[in-house]
Parts: sequence; C-alpha cells; structure tokens
Amino acid sequence: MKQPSPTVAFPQGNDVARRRYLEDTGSRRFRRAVRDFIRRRPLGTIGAVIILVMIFAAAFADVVAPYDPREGEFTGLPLPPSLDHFLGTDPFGRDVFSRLLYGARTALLVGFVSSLVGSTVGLALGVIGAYFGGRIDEVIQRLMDVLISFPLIVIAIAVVAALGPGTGNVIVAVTIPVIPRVARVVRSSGLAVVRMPYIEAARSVGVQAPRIMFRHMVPNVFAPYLILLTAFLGQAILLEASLSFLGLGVVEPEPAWGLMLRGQGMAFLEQAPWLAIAPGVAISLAVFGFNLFGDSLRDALDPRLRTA
Amino acid sequence: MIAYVIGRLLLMIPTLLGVASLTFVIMRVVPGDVVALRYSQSGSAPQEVIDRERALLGLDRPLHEQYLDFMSGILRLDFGRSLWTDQPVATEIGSRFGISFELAIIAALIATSLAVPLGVLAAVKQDTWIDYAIRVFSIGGLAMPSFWLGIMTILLLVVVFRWAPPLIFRPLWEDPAANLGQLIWPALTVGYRYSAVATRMTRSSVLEVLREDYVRTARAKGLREVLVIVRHALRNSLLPVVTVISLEFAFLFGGLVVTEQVFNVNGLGKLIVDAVAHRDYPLVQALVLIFAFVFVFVNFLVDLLYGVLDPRIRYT
Repeated sequence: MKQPSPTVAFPQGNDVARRRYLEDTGSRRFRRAVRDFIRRRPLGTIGAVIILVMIFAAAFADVVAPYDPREGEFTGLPLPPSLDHFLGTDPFGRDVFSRLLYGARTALLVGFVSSLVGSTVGLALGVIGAYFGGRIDEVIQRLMDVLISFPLIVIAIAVVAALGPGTGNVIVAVTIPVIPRVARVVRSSGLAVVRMPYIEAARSVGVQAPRIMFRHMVPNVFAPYLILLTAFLGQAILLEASLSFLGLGVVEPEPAWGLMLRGQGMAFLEQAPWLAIAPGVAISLAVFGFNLFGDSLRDALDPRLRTA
Repeated sequence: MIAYVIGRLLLMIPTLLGVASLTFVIMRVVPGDVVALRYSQSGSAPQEVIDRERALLGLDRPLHEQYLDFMSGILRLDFGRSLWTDQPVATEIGSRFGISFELAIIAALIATSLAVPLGVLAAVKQDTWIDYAIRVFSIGGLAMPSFWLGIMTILLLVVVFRWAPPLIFRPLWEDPAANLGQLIWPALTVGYRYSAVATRMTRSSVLEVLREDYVRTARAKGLREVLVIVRHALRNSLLPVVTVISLEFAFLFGGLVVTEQVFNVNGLGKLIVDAVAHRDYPLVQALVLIFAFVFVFVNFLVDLLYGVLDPRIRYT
C-alpha cells in the first residue's frame, strides 16, 4: 500500500535529504512542494487546473468575452450555437458564453468571500470555546447547535427576504451556515491542543489569553481550518447557484450561473437545451475542481481527518 | 445508559427553543406581512380594511404576547392556523409530510445500495483506475447541483421517452406503481448526490480499517479475501458510514427545496418556500421546528446506534 508522504516534513535520518532541505530557500521549497503535489496527486492537479482556468476566465472576462453579458440584440427567440455565438444566445439575445465568463466572477466572489469569512468566524469561535471551556464554551456550543439544526435553505431564504436579493446579501446567506460547521471541527481539534504542555507553559509565564489563542492555538488547528475552507468553497458556489435558481440570489441582469438556469433555462428546455446545459456544466466543473483540489489538499495535510 | 438518554433528550429542549425563538425573530424582522401581501395582489385596499384584517389574525398584538402565545402553543403541540389558507397548520403539514418522507427514504435506499459496494471497492482497489473512476463518479455527484441534474433528467425523459411530467400526485396507497413512477426521478437525482457523500465516507473508513492489525491477522491465517473485507473490514468501518447516511437523511428533509421545485413535487420543501413568501408565520415556525427536530433527533439516534454497532462505546 502506498503511504502518501507529507509534502514538507523534516526528513529524519537521511543526511542527503536533510542537507537538501536546509539548503532550500523558501521559493525553492515551494516549487518542490508544487512539483511533489503534481506528481503524487494527479486528481488534485486536475482540480487546480480547473480552478486556475476559472480564475483566469473571471479575471479576464472583459478581454475574453466576445459580447456584453448584460445586453444583447433582442431576437425574441434564443439562437442555437453558431460560429458567432459559440454557445448560442438566450431569448434576450445575450451571448451565453459571455454570460458564463462573467458568471465565473459572481461564483468566485460569493465562493471565496463567504467561505473565507464563514470559516474564519468559525475558527475564532471554535478556538475561543476550546480555550476557555466551561460556560463560554457551553453557550457557543448551544448557539452553534441552533444554527446547525436550522435548515440551510431557510437561513438563506430569511436573509434574502429580509435584506432583498442581490450579490452582497447572497454572500451573507451563504456565510452563515459555514460558521457552525467549521466551529465544531475546530473546537474538537482545539480541545486536544489546549491540553498540550506548551499551552500550559505559555500560561504559566503569564502570556495573555488572546495571544495564546492567536499564537499557539490557531497555528495548530490550521490544517482542519484550511481543509474545511477549501471544502466549503465548492459548497458555497453550489449554494449560490441554488439560491439564484430559486430567485433568492443574484438578480437580472447580473450574470450568474444559477440565474441562467432559472426561467429561460426551464422555459426553453426543449427548443433551446443549450440554455440549460451550459451553465450547469459550468457550475459542476467549478465545484468539481474545488472538490478535487480540496480532497488532495486534505490527503496531503492530514490523512486522518475525514470530511464527507 | 438511561441517564444518558434522558440527558440527551433534555439537551434537545434548549436547542429547539432556540430554533423556535430565532425563527420567530427572523420572521418578524423580514419586511411585509400576510395581509399586506394579500392586498398587494388584489390592488390597494383602504387602511381600515387592512387594520381590521390584521386584528383578526392577531398581528396587531404586542410582539411579546405573540411570542408567548407561540411558545405555549409549542408546549401543547398546537401550532395554530395558517394565516394564508386558514387551515390548521397540522393539516397543511400532514398532507405533505408523507411525500417528503417517502422521497427521502427512496433516496436513502438508492444511496446506501450504491455507496457501500462502491466505497468498499474503491478502498480495496486504492490508487488503481477503479478507485479513480469511483472517486470521480462520487466527486461528480457532489459537484453537480441536484436541481440541474433534475433538469437534465427531465430533458432526457421528455426528448427521448416523450415523457410528460405528472400533473397530480398519486399517493402510495392508491396507486403504488404510478406513485413510484413519479418519485423515482427526483429520488434518483437526490440519491446520486447522497450516495456520493456516503461512498467517500465508506472508502476512507474502510481504508483506515484495512491498516489494522486484525485485518493482517485475518489475512495471515488464510481467510478468504472476501470474508476479510466483509466480516472484518466492512463491519468495523460501518460507524462513520452509518453516521453520514443518517445525518444526510436528516439534512434531506430540509434540503429538498430546489429538487421539489424542479420536479413539481408537493412536499415540505415547496411548502416552506411558499410559507416564507406568504409570511405565513405559524406555518414557517412549525416547519422550521420540524426540520430542526428531525435533525436533532436523528443525531441522537445515531449516537445511540454507536453503542449497538460498537459495544466498546459506553454512555456516561
């Protein structure tokens, strides 16, 4: 059985490897880690490539997209894929391919911001709970219980109903469910860290609580945090698509993949299947990429941690 | 053991009361109420009429009174009447509950019967093309939005089989064949995603157990590989698998909103979207409470099941 070896670990008892490790500068070490990742984790590399392509599409949508994503020449009927419109047009004459490219912006924006903010708040709550324990931990835990047993979609519907649809509010709606899920995992890792002698040592020399948490606890629960962060990136993109599809997310004429499936995608299902197929493939590919990459990252960082 | 069960059941109470209170607050914060929405559809109405209607529904009473009413209602298991249809909330939910429940059960059956064999196979053939294929299949299930998969299924059925989406729902006890024919497609699209989650868990759990000493011992004494896998590896790796399958089941209950929308299935998911849209406070509150209860209760059952599956686990 092949045992995956950690990408950067101090190779013990091997002089050549140790010397090479010590001679390595930061950038060289990083390049070696990347090369290792590519060789050992082909699926993860595919994921990384998909993510990079998506980031590229989002960043250079202005240059790459052949048409304006928000306005088109009104034709009344969607046009099938042709040389002019490589993925056809929607009933408003907007180029589907251009809308897909700009849609990557929306997806990445919502995905990155909400999983980053949600995971970081969860990290803070988890570390605080694990460090203080007792009543503070109990209160945080019960709060997380409430949030986690609250149906995801209801949170989203409520946020959007209260604040109105729009990209910013979708981010809020997608962020909230991430928090309790990260907080729980971080807390359970943190409980093990808190018992470590170095925490006691820090406390006994009079280091203040915030500093202990930030300098000693956070770095030691960083692996699960990073893993969950990547895992939720894909989930956040999916959730954004579902919300936009339900009419609770991004609003027209903003280009978003879930929104493209809504209405037109369904109404013209038989006459213009490309309207429904293209955005769905885009969503699936994006989430697929993030999941593949996240999976391999998990294997590389912590083979014992399981996330479904 | 009994003390543990009672303790766990008592712990559910603050969680559920928290969920109920949060729902109450959220629904009042969301702008608009049922009366305003009703009249916004039929044009404008004089202010007195709107006020009278609000008073009739009790919406003009101070918030703390409404809150206490709602809370005491929960204790008596009386959720009141829907503000939109004036039917008792219990009736509204009762007629939909069965559909969602059946859908979730079929999906769970599909998922389990796919996930366990695939997960074991992937683990046994780790890092071969079989493993890669199964992993890609399951990550694909996680990546494809189930509503889009639903749309594609409909597209396929309509174009290839000239299938027409059913207009009325047939209950299981009236016409089992027609009922299954209606629910099998949404169940399949949901079940695929569901199976993906479970397959991944089975794979990693079996992989972990395969490294154990007793597996090596079983092999060393010459036991047939099939028996090693089924009796020793699979049995000992069931715990996390059962956990995800159960938790996912609880999640399905509150998470089928979009799939029900696509397939036009009249379940709880559609009901809650409508209820929120109508600002039907009693109905929303009851539905959220049910979802939360199912979630908390399944969690509790899973913890109890641990003791059955692994006798080493003691409850204190």
